[in-house]
Amino acid sequence: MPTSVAREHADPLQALAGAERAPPFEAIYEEHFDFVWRSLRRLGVPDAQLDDAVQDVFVVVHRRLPEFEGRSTIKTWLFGIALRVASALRRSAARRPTEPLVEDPPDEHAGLDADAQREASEAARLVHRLLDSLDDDRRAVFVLTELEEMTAPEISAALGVNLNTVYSRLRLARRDFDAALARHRARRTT
Amino acid sequence: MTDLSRESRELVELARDGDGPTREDRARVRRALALTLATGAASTSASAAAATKSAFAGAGIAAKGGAGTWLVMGVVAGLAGSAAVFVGVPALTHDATSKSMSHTLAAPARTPVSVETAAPTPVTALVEASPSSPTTALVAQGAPPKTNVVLRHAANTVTPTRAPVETPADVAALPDVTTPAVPSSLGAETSLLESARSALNQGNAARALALLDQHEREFPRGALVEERLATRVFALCSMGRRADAAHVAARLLALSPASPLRARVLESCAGSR
Repeated sequence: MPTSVAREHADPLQALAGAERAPPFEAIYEEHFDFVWRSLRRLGVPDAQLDDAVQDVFVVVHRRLPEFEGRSTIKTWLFGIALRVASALRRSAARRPTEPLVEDPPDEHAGLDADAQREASEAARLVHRLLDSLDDDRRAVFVLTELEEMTAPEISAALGVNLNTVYSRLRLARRDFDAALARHRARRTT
Repeated sequence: MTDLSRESRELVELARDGDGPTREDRARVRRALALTLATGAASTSASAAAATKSAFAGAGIAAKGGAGTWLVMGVVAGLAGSAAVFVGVPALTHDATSKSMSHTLAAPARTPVSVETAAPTPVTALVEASPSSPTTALVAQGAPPKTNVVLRHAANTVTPTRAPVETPADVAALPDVTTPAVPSSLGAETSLLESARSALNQGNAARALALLDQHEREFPRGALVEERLATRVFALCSMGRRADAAHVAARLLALSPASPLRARVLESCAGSR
């Protein structure tokens, strides 16, 4: 049984402390739904497939929670799953003809000043589009650093790559993003 | 470390709060996920059931623990929010429908009254891609049901065809539907169904069928009729009773042509030709 296997391998001290044991599914869902949602968008999941992608992530979480060993934080674990869901989606989307770019209707976020929210939504949409020009690995690092404001060691844990790799991907990602924004602005002013 | 240009930085900072979910997004996905998990662990084919028996024993743990209550909460929340998950599902009798509907399956109507059908997402790929998983065998479960939330008016109102309605906008626009299903019975209903599912997952299909019979007696018009029918399909499949499974599947699809469980049922032995 996966659970007992996982527990045998877990650090007994950690088990005693109970600190990094997996919280109940419900708690994870409540706390991290928003994070999963926006991460998938930032990783390039189109709006039309977003509901399904979020569901897929949590179906996997639900299924695999007994195996969660506390080697990473829940958040980095979730991001790893989101990353795989997003890239699986991209692979299947790549086989279909690309749809023309349509402007989505603005989101309606309750409780926030409408203008500010519209501005933020538009900015987010532009950022997503610029991110499309980044390579997948760089994109993930950029999202976690610049949008989630995670530290390099956290990102290294989330992605399972070493710190130097995180730094070098971040450097290239920033360069690419700057370039993409510059191109975007240039196109708009000419 | 080279930093972002000022322009990029400003844009990113502005964008940071611009792509979260709305309240409607949260509610919609929650309902859909509750439905998915309600039948989530059920296997879709006899061979898969055999292959994944041990793996499911592990996966079942979560369902028995927190997720069970979570599911009930989700469904109750759905009802309370007038977003009526299942309202007044008309009970159909075995005999009357199974005969007349049995052809439905052979030529499934491809055009349910709903909605955008997003491409199925390959959960398969992703589970396979994860290293060190003892539950790799779980892949047998195909794409999860899609996010369409099926709404039904009570049997005696406008829609004799029980046309599913969708989208959050529609949900919001619906008049408050009072539910004949009493939320307090949902817990009992859900846990009975979960028992049936876990019996099935442990390879005891006969026990699962007995529990499903009990469910049908106690909650003939319960909130989880579709889930009950789907679980019965999977149980019959795992016993090799394909014709019976096909009959039940036909009932389910007749009851709800756009059921979120449709794909799963069609992928089971009941749908294979």
